[in-house]
Amino acid sequence: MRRAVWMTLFLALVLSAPASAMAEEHTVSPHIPLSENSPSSAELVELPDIFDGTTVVYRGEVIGEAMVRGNWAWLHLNDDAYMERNIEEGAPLGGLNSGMPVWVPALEVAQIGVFGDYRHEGDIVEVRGVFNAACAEHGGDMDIHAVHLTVIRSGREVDDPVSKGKLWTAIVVILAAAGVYLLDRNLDRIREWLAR
Amino acid sequence: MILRPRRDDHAIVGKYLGKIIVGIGLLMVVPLVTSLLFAEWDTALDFVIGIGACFIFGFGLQVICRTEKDLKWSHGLVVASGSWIAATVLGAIPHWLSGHEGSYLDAMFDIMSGYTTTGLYLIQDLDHISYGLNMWRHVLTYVGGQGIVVIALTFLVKGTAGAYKLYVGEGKDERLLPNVIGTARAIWLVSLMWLAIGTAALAVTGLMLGQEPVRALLHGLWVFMGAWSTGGFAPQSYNTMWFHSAAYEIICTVIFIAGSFNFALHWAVWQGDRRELRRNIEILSFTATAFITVSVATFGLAHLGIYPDAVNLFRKAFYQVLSGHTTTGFSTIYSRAFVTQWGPVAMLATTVAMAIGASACSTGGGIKGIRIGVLTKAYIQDVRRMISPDSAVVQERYHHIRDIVLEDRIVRTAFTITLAYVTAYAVLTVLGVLFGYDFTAAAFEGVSAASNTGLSCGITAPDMPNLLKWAYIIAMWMGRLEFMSVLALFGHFYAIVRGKS
Amino acid sequence: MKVLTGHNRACRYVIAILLETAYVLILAGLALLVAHLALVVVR
Repeated sequence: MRRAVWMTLFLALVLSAPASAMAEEHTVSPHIPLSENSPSSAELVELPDIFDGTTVVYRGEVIGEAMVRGNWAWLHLNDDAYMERNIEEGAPLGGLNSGMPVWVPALEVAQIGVFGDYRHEGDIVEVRGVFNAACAEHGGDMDIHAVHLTVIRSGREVDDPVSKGKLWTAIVVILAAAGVYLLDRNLDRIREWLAR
Repeated sequence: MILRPRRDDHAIVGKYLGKIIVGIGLLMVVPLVTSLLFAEWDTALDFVIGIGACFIFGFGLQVICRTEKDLKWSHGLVVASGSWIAATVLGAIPHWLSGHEGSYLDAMFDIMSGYTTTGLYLIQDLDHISYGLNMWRHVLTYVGGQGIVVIALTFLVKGTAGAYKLYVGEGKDERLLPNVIGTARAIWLVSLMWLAIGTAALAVTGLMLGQEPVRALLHGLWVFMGAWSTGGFAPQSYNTMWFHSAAYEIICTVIFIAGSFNFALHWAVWQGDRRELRRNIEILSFTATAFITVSVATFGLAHLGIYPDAVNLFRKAFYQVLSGHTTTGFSTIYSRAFVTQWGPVAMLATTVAMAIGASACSTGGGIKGIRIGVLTKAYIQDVRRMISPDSAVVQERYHHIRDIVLEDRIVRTAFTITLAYVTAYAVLTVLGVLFGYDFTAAAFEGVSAASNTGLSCGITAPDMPNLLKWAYIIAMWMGRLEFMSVLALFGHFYAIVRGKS
Repeated sequence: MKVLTGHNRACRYVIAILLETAYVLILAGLALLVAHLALVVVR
């Protein structure tokens, strides 16, 4: 009986924790202010119906690579917290990535110098094109079909310097690991030696 | 009467736990070599520290826990569930050191999600992480698919009778071969064969889609690992939408459906028993439930009229729902698009598909096809009993590698585990709703976590409540190990505290 | 039991993989049919 009471109390406690945390209010879809015709990728994903078929101006960092398919090419433009600066360069954490695929003429891709990855902060590119919530041409993907692109800011190489502290930690940890390994290997011999 | 574990019991658990963690350390050599190849020195150090920590823990445990005794059932279960926890805590070191995780909890979330082949992630700025770290994410999901214990059995543990108990503890119970080490090797043979063919197919397709050779190969390898292990990790934040290609999607679908098959089924087919592919109860169950859920989602989407024509509708519905059904978690739509485009009908169809999940003894999660099949047969048997004369003996059979007569014992096991899954789904859903999320979204995300799927409708994000992160981590762990060994671990702790000595 | 050579075994594995692929393609075909049907019924 006593146990049952404790269990009930415990359950009540566990269940009340989220209730108190709710005061902070976590909603899946935060209110996003609408700008004229240059929505962010988050706005496009949140309100696909509103922007579907309209011409939008969209700006973001070119990520990864350009995949050329015949006369056209796929670009992926991220307009998230890391569009100006990488975490490796000291940018603060700003949530998950967010971006939009853009379908551009292959000739336009030649303007792009740097694609964003671990070693690079990609070019920031602006496109003007038609937003498709579910593109009929591309298997229902959400995308922007643009005719032109403009490089707003060139990308650059990003350095991820080796920190001294990390280097020393690594050396100490590896030496310790080697020590423990040797101890494990020779434990019986050591015991014999101690017994003598 | 519950007995308090003795010194010997702790020693056995510690010894095998140590061996498995050493295995995790050895595994980190793969991403270490990758980052050295690409001259990512800072990332390489992250892995050196990770390997060192695993070795200190693993060999340290083996120094402390010296014993020659063999494993008993309870030990096997405790080692299996305990090793997943230790592997998560230690495996999170490189993630945490990379600076891309908001907290150590976030790092552990990503690692548990990887091992359990879930695919939800909290790593921030995925599009700018190093090749080494990306390799680690995918290697751990690939290995997690086969099972951490399976890898240890293959390379590190000498074949003892007790080894089988470790293997069962990880939620796998098929003996492909009489010997458990042989079974583990057979699982690896199947997986590596598929790895070679699948990676080649994806890499060649990637090349034709306009990727550079190195990127095509790495993306091919990683997407294969994410697909085969029904993991759902992909190298870019766009997941498999990155490729914008029907061919790539079809190859992914083939790989993740194959990955969701029972290893015993693979092995039977590989031994030349091709009829198994038509007769196996899990194939029948999967085909039926997949067909139903895809149809419901398709009709729901057709009604909303989001997709312009039948081919596009098919591509989106088939890929997303089957990715959910095989508990993979690949998607070619945005996470939030489930809410903003797909709507409740298609979301619920996907949720049901995820809840049912893949086959038993596969890389997948969820309730599993065999249990759905067995329970369906049990209902059929009951109905047949009701309409038969009292004297008639009603017998029901099903085919899984061989013909099996349906017994109450089998139904009981299937039912308890199914009920455990349903309970976990319900608890996570209620928890999500308590935190203020919409019911459909909370159910979708909760089922996705507990069934190790990894499709997200946007709840999983670095700023989600910490309590929910913990709940998802625990759910992923319990769901992957099919509850029993986790409950055994809880029982072990209970016995330490309250057991009779 | 017949002892199989390595070559034979590799063939069998590849056939098994192709069979599993065929199964998925049949599923996909069914789904495409459903999609057509859905659009016809709804419109």
